[in-house]
Amino acid sequence: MEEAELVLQMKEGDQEAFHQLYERYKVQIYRTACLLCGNTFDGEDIMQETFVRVYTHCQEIRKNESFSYWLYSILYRTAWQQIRKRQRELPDEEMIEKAERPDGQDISEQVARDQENKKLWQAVCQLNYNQKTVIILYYYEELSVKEIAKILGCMEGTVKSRLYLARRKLQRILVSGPSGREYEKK
Amino acid sequence: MKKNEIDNQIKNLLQQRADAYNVPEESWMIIERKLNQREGEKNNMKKFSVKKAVIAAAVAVMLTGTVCLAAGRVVTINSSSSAIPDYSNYQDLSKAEEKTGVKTNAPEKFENGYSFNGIQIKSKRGLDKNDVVVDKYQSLSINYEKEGKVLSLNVEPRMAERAEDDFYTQILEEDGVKYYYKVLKNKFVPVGYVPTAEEESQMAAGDLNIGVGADKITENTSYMMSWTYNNQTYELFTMDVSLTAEEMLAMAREIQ
Repeated sequence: MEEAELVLQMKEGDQEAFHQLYERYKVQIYRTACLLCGNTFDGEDIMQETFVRVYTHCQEIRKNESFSYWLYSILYRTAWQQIRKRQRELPDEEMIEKAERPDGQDISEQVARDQENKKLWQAVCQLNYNQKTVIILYYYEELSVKEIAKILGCMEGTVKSRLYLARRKLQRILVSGPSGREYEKK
Repeated sequence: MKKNEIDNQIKNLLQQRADAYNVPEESWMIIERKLNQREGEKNNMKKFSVKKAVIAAAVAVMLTGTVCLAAGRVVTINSSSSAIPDYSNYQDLSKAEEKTGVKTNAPEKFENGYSFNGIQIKSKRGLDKNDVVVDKYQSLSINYEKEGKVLSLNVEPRMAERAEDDFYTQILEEDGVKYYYKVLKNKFVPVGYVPTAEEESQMAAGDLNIGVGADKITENTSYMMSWTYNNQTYELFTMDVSLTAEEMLAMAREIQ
């Protein structure tokens, strides 16, 4: 069934249509949520809350065919709120540790083999929320600047600027420090 | 560093990390529960459909009870794990225990023939009545199999606050440890199913669990024994085979 039709049915209260939309998007939304917050615990919360909001606010969707942009804008706001909430809560060292271990697998061990990747990931995590969002939507979701601007509700120039600054920051972090110099030698 | 070089590196890194994130199997159930709560649903049956596989996990949590913390009472426990066992060799048990901080004393084989069949690390989150996460920890689930029948031993590094004693089918006591045995009927029904008056009363008594969302009506029974030892909660659970309280107690003795 066409996505716009599913959205229409969901707006009419059809839970099965909502479930089908969840099935279509759950993987991408969950993975993007985990990338945004850096750990699976908050990623789960963000994904679940995003879909709860999708169902409870679906009447606010103006163009059914633009559902995916609307969905990602909900994700963007939900993730931001969750990250801020987490910062106010008790420090959670276990969660930071867990961030390296999605689904019980020790990803850090896998990635440790690739020191450059490890360093780059740390650099991505150090970006501010707006810059990180743009980086993830651009490189992981492979969205255009125009599409990202639509999701974030800002001008294309703002997206370009955030992208430029984020890329420059990542590049600077990568080439600075001992392993950064090593990288440059290659 | 060239622009294309860093572009590719960022892209590959994000893809690599994202690929490792698997959607937790309980996510849809949690979304349903949140929606039901927000819509003020107070019925015993869920308005949104629930898949059978998810119910098994939910039933296990319900039978074990909630955990009590200094920070406040946990009223709901969410659990997530990979469908694939994290470890498939018994020799890796100590590795899993070290990783989670959970000491299981799980045998490789029980005397009644159940043999080790894998270890799953479960990520647990305790939520209070306002749905605020107040506790997070990891637990271990050791899976056993005998003639195609599956049984699991779940060990949580938390003390359980149990239901009233009359909720349980039988309570046994040995060496100062109480063993809570519960038999629960499960019925999986299609959307729109209306429970009979008898089923309503069984649900109210905690003897029947109805899960909505199955293609056709199916029934089974779950058997569980739970106990607390050394500040950990242990639970033997199966939906595949009938085990008496004495049989489960004999297995429990092999764990300590």
